[in-house]
Amino acid sequence: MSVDAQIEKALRGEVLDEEEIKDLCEKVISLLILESNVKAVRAPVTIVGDIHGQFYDLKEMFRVAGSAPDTNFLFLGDYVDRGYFSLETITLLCLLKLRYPDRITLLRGNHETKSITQTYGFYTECFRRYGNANAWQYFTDMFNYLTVSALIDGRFFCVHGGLSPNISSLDQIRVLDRFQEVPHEGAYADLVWSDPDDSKEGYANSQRGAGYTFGRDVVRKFLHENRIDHIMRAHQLCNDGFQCLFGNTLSTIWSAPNYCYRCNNIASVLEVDQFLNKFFNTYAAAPTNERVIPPDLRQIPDYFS
Amino acid sequence: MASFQRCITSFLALAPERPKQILSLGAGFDTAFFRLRAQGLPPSLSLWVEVDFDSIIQRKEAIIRRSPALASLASLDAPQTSPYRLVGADLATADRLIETLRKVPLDPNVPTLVILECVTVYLQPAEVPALLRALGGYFGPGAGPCAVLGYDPTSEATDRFGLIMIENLRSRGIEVPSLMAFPSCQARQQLLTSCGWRFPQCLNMNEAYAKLPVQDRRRVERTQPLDELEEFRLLHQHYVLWWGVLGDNPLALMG
Repeated sequence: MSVDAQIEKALRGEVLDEEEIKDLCEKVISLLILESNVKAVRAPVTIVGDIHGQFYDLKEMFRVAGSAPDTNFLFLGDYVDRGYFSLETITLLCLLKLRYPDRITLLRGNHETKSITQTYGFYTECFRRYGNANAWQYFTDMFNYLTVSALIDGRFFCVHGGLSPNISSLDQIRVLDRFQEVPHEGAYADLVWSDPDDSKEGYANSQRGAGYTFGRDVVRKFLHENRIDHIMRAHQLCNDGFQCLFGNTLSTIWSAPNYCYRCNNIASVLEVDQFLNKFFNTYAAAPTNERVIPPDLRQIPDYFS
Repeated sequence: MASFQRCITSFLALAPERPKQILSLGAGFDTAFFRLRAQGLPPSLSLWVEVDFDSIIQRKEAIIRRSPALASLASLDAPQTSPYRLVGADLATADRLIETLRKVPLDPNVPTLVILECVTVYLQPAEVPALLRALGGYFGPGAGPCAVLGYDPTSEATDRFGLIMIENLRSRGIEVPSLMAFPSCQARQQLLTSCGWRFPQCLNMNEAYAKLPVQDRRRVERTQPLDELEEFRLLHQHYVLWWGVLGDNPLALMG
């Protein structure tokens, strides 16, 4: 089957067979392996935050923001887990990456690891669908090749989580060995797990148990020393789809509307034009009649548990 | 729920020579009694009464009977002397509930902990104060000390999380009429006061979590990285622990 035919299939919410997934992941790895840890991306570009297996909302996002190759996309990670359709989501994104490698950039989120996906749903979803863990293995092997950050026109730094006390320059990110499972601690872990905190200065322990929280002074110093203007990141649920902090020098972008089907939040993507102007395009969850709830799953999200 | 388990154990440990009662309203298929009894029932527990709709109580009784272990823990072979009683009643009709409790007999002069774990949310808004007043009247002035401990989801009228919760539950045929009836901790404390309960307290689960010792919280946080703190906090903001006491002698339930 041609990639275009596979994309048609994926857009219909159909998954590929195991051999096709293996082949797809191998091809995507060969593209990813060439990318720098700080990948250069050219504006205009639309930046997308966490998706978490919410396939129908990903399609809604494409309706709102346009689709590849017309729109240049930068995804900030967290494609899988929590939602019901991690397989459909990551499959479609990989196919689009294969078809339009220069119009799709995929960063690694803290969920793109073997350990987290075993806890938060992707492993279970793969096992339910295929009766074994092969598809999960192929995708999680591919995750080890996803790049960790991007730099838009040398001015906007994009990463899934945030900053690290072990990283003060972009060059330090460039020399990290990213081709491995994300460790529990250290610079690599911090980049995908950390959160901004406008109530404190400096770095502090994170309640997440991984990464750190970082304050205004840390951001100011990082921007200054690396001659950049803004940090774009995801990783944290935003009721309004996005949040700007630190005198509008850091933006959080959240692209999973009605997260876990119970938070009833809005989502957004950040559209950066060729002049580096920023616009948060917000959208709500796809209408109910366009969704399919897998019959073997509980019909409603967890409450009282 | 762990907090409830701890409250029950602390309550039973107070003044251990005095007999005590637990009244669990809307108990459903709760197994707290069996877990407690399996560990060795505190001698001060004189009565553990569980109340729910007749249909639930009958099913629960049937399940207990089918299991020799449970039947033995419930002392079903000696119902008059068993500390465990299953009672069918509708909490929406407070007067009839009180009559049923009188017949058990639940002794209003014995220190009693009344538990409402995720129950009042299912009542109509007017039925909640009616229930609290009726209980207050039964255990009221002159009777033994009594505390009520509740846990409920809660939401403000325009709160998006609450609105989607109502929708999600409704699609499963579950209604939560009082979800938005007492939208703040203050409202819940006022409710308790207006129904005659003293020293009312209410915490959302984020506040309750913050009260745990620092080392316990750090230990839990380090055990496994918790994804999605915002969602965790959002969820726990919408659940409250609340309590009140009767009599001059407040029971120190939560340290």
